[in-house]
Amino acid sequence: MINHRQMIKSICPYRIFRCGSFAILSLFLFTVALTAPLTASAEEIIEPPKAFILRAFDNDPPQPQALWLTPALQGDIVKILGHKVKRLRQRYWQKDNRTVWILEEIGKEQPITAGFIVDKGEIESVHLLIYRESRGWEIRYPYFRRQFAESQLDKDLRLDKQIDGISGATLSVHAMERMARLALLYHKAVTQPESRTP
Amino acid sequence: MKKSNVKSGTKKGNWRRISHRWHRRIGVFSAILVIILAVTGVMLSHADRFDLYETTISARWLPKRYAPLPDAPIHSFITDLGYVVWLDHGLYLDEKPLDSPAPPPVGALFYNDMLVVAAADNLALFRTDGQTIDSLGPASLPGSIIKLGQTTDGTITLETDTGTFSSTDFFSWTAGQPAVRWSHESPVPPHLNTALLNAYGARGVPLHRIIADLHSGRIFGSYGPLVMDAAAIALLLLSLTGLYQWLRGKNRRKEKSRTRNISGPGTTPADLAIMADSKDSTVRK
Repeated sequence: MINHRQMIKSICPYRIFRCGSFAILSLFLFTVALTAPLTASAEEIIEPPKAFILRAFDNDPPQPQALWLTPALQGDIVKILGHKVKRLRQRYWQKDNRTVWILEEIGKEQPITAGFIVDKGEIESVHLLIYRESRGWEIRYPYFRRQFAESQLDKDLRLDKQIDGISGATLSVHAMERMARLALLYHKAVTQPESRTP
Repeated sequence: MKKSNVKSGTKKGNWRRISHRWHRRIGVFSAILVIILAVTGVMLSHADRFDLYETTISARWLPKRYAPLPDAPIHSFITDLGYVVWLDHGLYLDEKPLDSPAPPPVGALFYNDMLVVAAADNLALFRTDGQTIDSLGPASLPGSIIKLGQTTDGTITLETDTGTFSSTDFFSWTAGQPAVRWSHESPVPPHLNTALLNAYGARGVPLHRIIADLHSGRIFGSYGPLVMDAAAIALLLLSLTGLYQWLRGKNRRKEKSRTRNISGPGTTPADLAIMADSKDSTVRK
């Protein structure tokens, strides 16, 4: 009569492979191997920037223009983003009082590319164009993006509307909020000629 | 007596032994990770006191997977201003780093006091001091760039997947087939190669980032955070099994003291075992 210990011993003669720690380690490695590909971040183009510009102007986009980021403007940018924008000018598209901006801001680790349409000082619509983070992609949904519509910039450079967050996507939500404020700031700068320097 | 108890073993005794065994196994397995979590956690909480933001560590001292040291520059182009070199997502004008990270370039040239660097979906304009003037994304380009060049009359020309386009202001692009001098890759001279690698290694990584990545496990690569998750789960299991054993030990101590009060001087160990068994069965009922 062979008991269960002897049976295990005959199947697995080496003591190290029979101990509990080895079992835990194997279980962890197995779990890691199964779940690791899920955590890898990848660039996802939700709407190509060019298609966004065409759609924003009903397939008749104007020539792009440039807003020069003067030191005064960079000061306001720092108030919004917490850091300077590392370029001297920002491209935009304008028809009448309506401006369109493609902006980038880091959510957690990777930049999020988003498009903003601003009309007469308030946000008309917000569009997620390219998403590169491994989590927080819920910001692509219209129910989240619709919250920005008709929001304006107050004197403290904040949105005058409350934007509800999404649990698990807090940093992406904050990045979208910062970019919306930036788009409104830029819009204000281009509609005031003194903000533009050659 | 003890041996016979182990063999006959009540359910509670089994649970206690299993809990004790796994408490030790989990403890041994997760010890190093838990120590890393604890030490780095304390350091991050007192980052200012440890000067974590000011201290930088040279990339040479870090694991290659975390801060990979390139074997050689990957893309280099000669311009009227010097060599433009792409090295591990960074652009250099000779050995001087340019302002922004960039995708691998397909061409570079000096144009109207600006350094123009083209990648497949990006055209970056730099000042001669390295500051970024503008970065044109796909929405501002006529197509995906294959080659960057300049005509004899000084117009910037792009060969793209949708045709050849020229511009003088980088805002409007005109299709056409002008005579163009294209930018080509050219290897950097050995002395510049050494200077570049020194500049790359000297960039350093802030200690705060290293400690934060050690805490989260990212320093060990893409699987690292999952290993640290496992350590956190192990900590949870250690707490639960430890708590269970403490509660069991407390009950046993209570029982022992009660038995000591009940039993007289002539009570044998066998009598005590019978008393304990009868108490267990009463509790189960």
